[in-house]
Amino acid sequence: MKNSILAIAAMAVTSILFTGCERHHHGENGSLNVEFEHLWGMNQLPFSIGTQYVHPMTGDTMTFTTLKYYISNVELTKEDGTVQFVPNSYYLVDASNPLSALLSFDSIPSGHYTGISFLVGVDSTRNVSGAQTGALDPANDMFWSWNSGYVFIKAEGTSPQSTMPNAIFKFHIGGFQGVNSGLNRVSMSFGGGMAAVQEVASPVVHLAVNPAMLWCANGVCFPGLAQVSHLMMPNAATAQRAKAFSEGFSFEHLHN
Amino acid sequence: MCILTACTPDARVDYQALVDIPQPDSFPERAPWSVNVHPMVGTVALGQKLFSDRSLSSDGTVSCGNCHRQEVAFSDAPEKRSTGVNGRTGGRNTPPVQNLAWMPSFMWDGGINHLEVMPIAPFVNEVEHNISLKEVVRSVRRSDYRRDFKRAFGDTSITAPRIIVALAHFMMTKVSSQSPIDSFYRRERLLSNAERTGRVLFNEQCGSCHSGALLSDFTYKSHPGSRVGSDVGRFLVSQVPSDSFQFKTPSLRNWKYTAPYGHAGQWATLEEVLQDWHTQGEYLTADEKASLLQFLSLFNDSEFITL
Ligand code: HEC
Ligand code: HEC
Ligand SMILES: [Cu+2]
Repeated sequence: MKNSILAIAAMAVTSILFTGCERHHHGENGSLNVEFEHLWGMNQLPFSIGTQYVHPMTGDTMTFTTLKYYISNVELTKEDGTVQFVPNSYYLVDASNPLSALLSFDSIPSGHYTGISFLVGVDSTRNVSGAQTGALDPANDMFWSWNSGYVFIKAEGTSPQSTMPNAIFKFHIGGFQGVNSGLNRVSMSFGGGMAAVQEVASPVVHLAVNPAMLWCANGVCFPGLAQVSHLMMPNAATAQRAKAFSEGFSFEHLHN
Repeated sequence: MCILTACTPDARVDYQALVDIPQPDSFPERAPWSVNVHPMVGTVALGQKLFSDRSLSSDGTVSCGNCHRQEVAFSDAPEKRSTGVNGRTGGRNTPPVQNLAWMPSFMWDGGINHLEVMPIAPFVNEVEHNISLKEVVRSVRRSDYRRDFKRAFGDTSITAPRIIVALAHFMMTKVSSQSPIDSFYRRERLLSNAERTGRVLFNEQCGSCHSGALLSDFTYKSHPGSRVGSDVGRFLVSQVPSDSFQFKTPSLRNWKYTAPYGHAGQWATLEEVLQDWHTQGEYLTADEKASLLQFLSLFNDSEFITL
């Protein structure tokens, strides 16, 4: 009993020391926020779940019920060209939940940042390492139960063009290995601007995401919903769509 | 050194103590996924409780233990197809849960790459437990589990990753290594003449796939008689055309308890397996079949099904 009281006392002292320490070092770190805005097609219509859109290229009419994707392994480029890796950066962006679209990188060194790079998806290590937590918790319904690996991009909804029962479409896109890998790294600069991370200031970078890119990228279109409305495992078609989706990220603006 | 636990009534049990997974000399190296998986007294006990919890299913009747019963080496013998929720039956035969630490991938098609993510499949499968992981977590939170989680993980937080980790830890401790052949490997027993003949024959005809002390190299192959129905096996997960109708080579350990055999339970007896081998592959005399059976009988571990 005596021992345990001593131990608790010791822990209390240590924790006081630690917080004291942190306060001193605070000036060196700050945070940077990135907000994803979903904008549909070249006309950049505000995108939301449950709203009907017409695809500008395929002409298909569709209403999303789900749009979720992983962003991971974030790297920030500093003004001097050095790269700051954001440790343990795994985020599940859910278009139906604005909070999930606001990523906050805390405790990164103060400084001027000129660009960002990230994976759309989850690195291969986390796909083969068993139970994961946080954004990667399999209860988030983004893990293939029968063919281990994360669904990187989940797009579901309805379309009169679909030939599936109840006119649904379901794209579960992923794959972390081999020729059909759906893993892509997106890199972009902040359009010549700089995000000034300081202890007292957390800049916000706005990035646009265009879900219509699941059907067309760089002027090349994939089959419309009348032909393909169901993609449920990694294959050549999902690899193409994953690449196209990753090309739909662009820098919008930033404010310091 | 457990200062804080010393104040609780369970002071004598160290729930954080590692549970030893034996490594018999005759066994191969453990599977790579298992290297960082360390079952502990608390997590194994929790896993065992979850394994037999029927409330973790959509109709409240199905637990892992329904289909993986210890008295038949954690298989579902004599069922060809197991029954899940609402009397629904699945398409494949239930394999035994044994020696999983040496298995590089799970399921007949090897689609699952780590034991910790293994339980997700039966939970969400609509003919097995038919329950989402979120519902599993909710159900466990409603039940009497707080103390088990505290012992296993140090606090009472109940999450999906913890649930599947505990199930994996429990399953990993199911090691079958006390069969007569294991006594032979330990030089505690000799083989009879018929067993020796069977061994030579087995190594010649079967040993290229059913290799080593676990009787499997866990690669995807097929047999005379293993092409039944439309289940294309490994192709389902690999999409490689040459993987069509290939299945993970099963360990034949404890076959005495696990009939019927094959991914679809297509063989009722070992004799039927040998008969297909004999008529569609290599010729086997009656004596050869008998000696093969005698040799294979050495791989049945009666301790495993009772302990
Ligand atoms: C309704 C019967 C049923 C239930 C309930 C069930 N299983 Fe299974 N289990 C099976 C079948 C059938 C397979 C083979 C499936 C396949 O290969 O597609 C299997 C395969 C497995 C395997 C892989 C073994 C190997 O050799 O590859 C493990 C491990 C396992 N189950 C654990 C569990 C756990 C843990 C639970 C509870 C969460 C569970 N099972 C619930 C029928 C069942
Ligand atoms: C080319 C590799 C290979 C060879 C050689 C081979 N097997 Fe198999 N064996 C397999 C595969 C793969 C399966 C699973 C087949 C299926 O599920 O349809 C299997 C299944 C079995 C089963 C069913 C086990 C169970 O638990 O369901 C038995 C018994 C068996 N083999 C015995 C033998 C015997 C005896 C020999 C030699 C006469 C032999 N095998 C040779 C690959 C092989
Ligand atoms: Cu803005």
